[in-house]
Amino acid sequence: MNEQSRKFDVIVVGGGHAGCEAASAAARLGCRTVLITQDAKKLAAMSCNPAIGGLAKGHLVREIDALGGIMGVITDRSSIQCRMLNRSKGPAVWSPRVQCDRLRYSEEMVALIRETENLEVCEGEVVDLIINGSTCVGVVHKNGVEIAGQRTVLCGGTFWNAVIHIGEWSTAAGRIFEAPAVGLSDSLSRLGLQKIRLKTGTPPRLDGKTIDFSKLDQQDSDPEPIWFSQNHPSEQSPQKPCFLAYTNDATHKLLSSGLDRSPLYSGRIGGTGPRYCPSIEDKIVRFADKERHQLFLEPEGLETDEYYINGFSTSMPEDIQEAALKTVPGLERVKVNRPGYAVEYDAFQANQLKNSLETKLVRHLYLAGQVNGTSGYEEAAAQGLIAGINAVRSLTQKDPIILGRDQAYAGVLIDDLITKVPVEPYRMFTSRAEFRLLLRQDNAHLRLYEIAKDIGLKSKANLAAIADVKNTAKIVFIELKSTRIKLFDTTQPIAVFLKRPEITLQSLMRDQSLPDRTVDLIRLHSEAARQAELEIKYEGYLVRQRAQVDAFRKMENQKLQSNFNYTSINALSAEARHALQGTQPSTLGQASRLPGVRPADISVLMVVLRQNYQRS
Amino acid sequence: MGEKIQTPVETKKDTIVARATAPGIGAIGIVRVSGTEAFSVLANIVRKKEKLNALKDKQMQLVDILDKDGVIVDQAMVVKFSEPHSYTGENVVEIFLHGSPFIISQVIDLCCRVGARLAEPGEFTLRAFLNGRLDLTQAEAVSDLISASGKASHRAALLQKQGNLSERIHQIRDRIISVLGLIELDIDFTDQELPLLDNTKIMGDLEDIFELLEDLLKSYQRGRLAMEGAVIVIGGPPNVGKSTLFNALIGEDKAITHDVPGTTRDAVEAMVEWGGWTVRLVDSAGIDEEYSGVDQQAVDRSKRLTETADLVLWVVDAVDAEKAEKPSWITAKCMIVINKVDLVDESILSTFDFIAVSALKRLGLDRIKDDVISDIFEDNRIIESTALLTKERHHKAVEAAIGFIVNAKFIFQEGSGIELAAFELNEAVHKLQEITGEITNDDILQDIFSRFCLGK
Repeated sequence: MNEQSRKFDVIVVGGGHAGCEAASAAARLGCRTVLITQDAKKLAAMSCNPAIGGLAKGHLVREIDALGGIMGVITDRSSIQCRMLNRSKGPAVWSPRVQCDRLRYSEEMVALIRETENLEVCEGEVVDLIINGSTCVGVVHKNGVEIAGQRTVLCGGTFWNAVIHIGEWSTAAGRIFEAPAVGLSDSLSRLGLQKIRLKTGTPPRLDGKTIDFSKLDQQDSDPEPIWFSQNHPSEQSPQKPCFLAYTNDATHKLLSSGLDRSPLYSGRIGGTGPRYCPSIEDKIVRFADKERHQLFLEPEGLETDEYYINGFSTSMPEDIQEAALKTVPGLERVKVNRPGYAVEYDAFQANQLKNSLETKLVRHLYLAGQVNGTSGYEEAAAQGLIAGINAVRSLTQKDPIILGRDQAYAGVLIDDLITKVPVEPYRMFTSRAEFRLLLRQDNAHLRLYEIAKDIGLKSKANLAAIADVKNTAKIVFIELKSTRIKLFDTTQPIAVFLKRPEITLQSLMRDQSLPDRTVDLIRLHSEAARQAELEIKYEGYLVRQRAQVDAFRKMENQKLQSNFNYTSINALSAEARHALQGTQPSTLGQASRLPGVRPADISVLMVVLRQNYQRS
Repeated sequence: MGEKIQTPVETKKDTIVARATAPGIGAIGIVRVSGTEAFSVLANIVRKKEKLNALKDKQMQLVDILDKDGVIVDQAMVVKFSEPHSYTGENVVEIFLHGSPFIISQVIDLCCRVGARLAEPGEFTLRAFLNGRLDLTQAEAVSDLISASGKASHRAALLQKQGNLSERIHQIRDRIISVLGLIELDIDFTDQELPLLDNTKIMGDLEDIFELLEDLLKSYQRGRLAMEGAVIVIGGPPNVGKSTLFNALIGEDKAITHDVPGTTRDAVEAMVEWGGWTVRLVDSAGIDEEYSGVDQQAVDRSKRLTETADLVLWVVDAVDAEKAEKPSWITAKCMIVINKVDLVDESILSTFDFIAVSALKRLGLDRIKDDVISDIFEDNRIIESTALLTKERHHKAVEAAIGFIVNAKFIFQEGSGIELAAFELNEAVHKLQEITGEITNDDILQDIFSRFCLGK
């Protein structure tokens, strides 16, 4: 690189799911962007399971697509099995999950990034930041070269000061056989950011040629394809089944026999792991009375026989891993291609970030992904997208994009991150979204339409298609409310019948209960019809939830001054004073969500605000 | 962005003063001072202020209060509380004076002269709340405590202040949250091998929660009776001696008695305390179906009165004892009282199961009191240990919470989407938290703090 070429608008460090979104967004928004990563051929690697989406995460991926991100596009191109989870429950908690061809996913990402204008990929490692006053103005490459950037987005994944454990063996590595990133984490610490140490793990990869699938339960793809993106391919790639297997008493005995050699139980791992995704050794200790644990064998791709064994995350010694797996019916002769391992890494308390994901301490520096204490590709990608967009918006002097908890799961995610101190890697759940009846996966594009328009990543054609669904849904809604049909000896508007749990538009069409005109309308605009149907079916609940949103907005709209001295309000509990002082929330609503801030403290703030208001 | 940015400011730190005992003449009047300057305010209005330097917290000290010219206003006992160990959480001084309104107002004036200012209504409690000394239900209870008239109401208010209601609400809330946990688990971990959601167990849990809430709701009637007292209307045909009975029961001639039918045109009311319970006794105009004209209005009013009563004492002349029965138009609880038993042969009366009294001779009045207590206030021992709902606001919130639980049960029965059941249960939790003040609502605060009387 010559002197001139080492100056960029936006520098993105890390080529994982967060980094790819950030770099792609920044470049497509017109900024000269560089993506610095250790291995340019391994972009968006799926370090853990080869699947995108799932509960609540599926919502995130749809939102990423709605806002103009790329995860949905790549997933649709590499899908080898798709399922809609929770179909037996209400549509608000349906979640799409897609198994991907791991290699294909990465290749598609490499190709997409390569063809992106304004985006340069630079191989290597960043070891330090260039700070001018309290502003980040660039990064230092391991080879000593300085790269100048007006905005910097750090997406270090699990690589910062990472250590991998397998049994008694451990080594400095971010992914197995891949070097950790050393230096950056310490730079941030020197700048005053608070570090935390987290841990996560991954299961062994198995050779499918040595698995007896006849002894396992097969789980096939849904008959209908599921797409995340508006811009999906016309044809689905061939689909491959998953399989279910179960541990038994012999498995548990074998694992127990090796506990003294487990890094988790011998105290060699200090980082905090996720409770919702325990390792197999953790499961047999904590749930000792459970007779068996389910294992989910996921295919790694179309052109490989490798399988990922979900539910068997472990850092036990290799010999124990293999012996324990061989006790599972169907895996008696299994060959382990790669053992499971645990990885410890540095992350940073995200309450040191603004809603825009810029750090409070260092201007023009953004953090996204697992370095903010999350787990999961989807959580990382959502943050990367928002950080990339906001880096550009800050450069172009626009207000940052801040998604509300009432607008998107991505909004819930970031708000949770910056208001709560994580005790374990943060994973998205539908129950974290208090307005989840409104935030469905099927309406992500519709509800984020205005914001997407403002951001400017979506193509005109995409936006027009969304606007069309929005408008047509209104027409179908009116049609269903005003057209009366005769059913069960009464004549009522279609909408009245639709409110019954057992009746759907589909069932009405099947029974030929609808007039031709209505049927034509529904057939022609199936997506809009679905929206109208759900709006009618859940009308009562949606009205109530919208009322909750109004109340929530009242608190969110009460802005608080930044850099305020909360220690002067004796009325607040000591804990609340500490939390408010440290985090400096931007709204009263955000204050109410800080740990240690009790409702009584919010009452205090409200009274104080009102006293002040009355005085002024 | 155009929105007004509100800045939290330091709470008022000035020192306030007010009378802490009810207005009127009593044996003792207490003046309370609270704030950082409370001790110096006191020091500046007493003779030999050095006596106060050695005064320990919560210790009484006799002092002379001097006016600005050095003339003794009163000899008083004073006690001080250092922050944060006081009612308001600030430095507090209490001055026990001889109860003359003149002395009290003079001392308040003196305090204001040396740096205190007159407290606004509810300001002491507001400060206690702001300093984290009271939660919302406790703050509400304080206003009840101040206006508590009977022993039972005092106890109910005290229990609430001690956090008993909050505790009971918390228990119910925790049960709802544990059901919610099961549901959320089933939604968010559907891809893992988990036992199926046990609908029977959840229905059982919801039924339990429903009953706990119903019990709480029922306690409102008792709680309200304890706090506000029972309204007992004395009704009956003209000239049966209602007002005489009223006067006999309250022990003073408050109602006008006369032997001309229809003397009592307007209802007269008195507060009495029976067995520790507050009773609001109302004497109504005589009700006679044949009445018409100007008196019709008074009769209508009487009828309306009986509708809001907790109990109607329906008085009948002993001469008409045979015909005595509860009029069909009375919807409230009703007790029939035979009056003027001194005028008839007592043997006739023994055949009826009515309360027989002679209001004039003050015979049988205790029977009325005893029956009223057992009938209206039920078993008052419950008050000793159980938190009661005493506020209309709490009653409404519990009622709403019950509605949400019923909805949730219905959803489970119908099998229509457990995420909707979760929505209902969350609503129930929020409603219950409104009672304990855990959901902050501007209106609730506004309402509560505007209802405090001066001094606390």
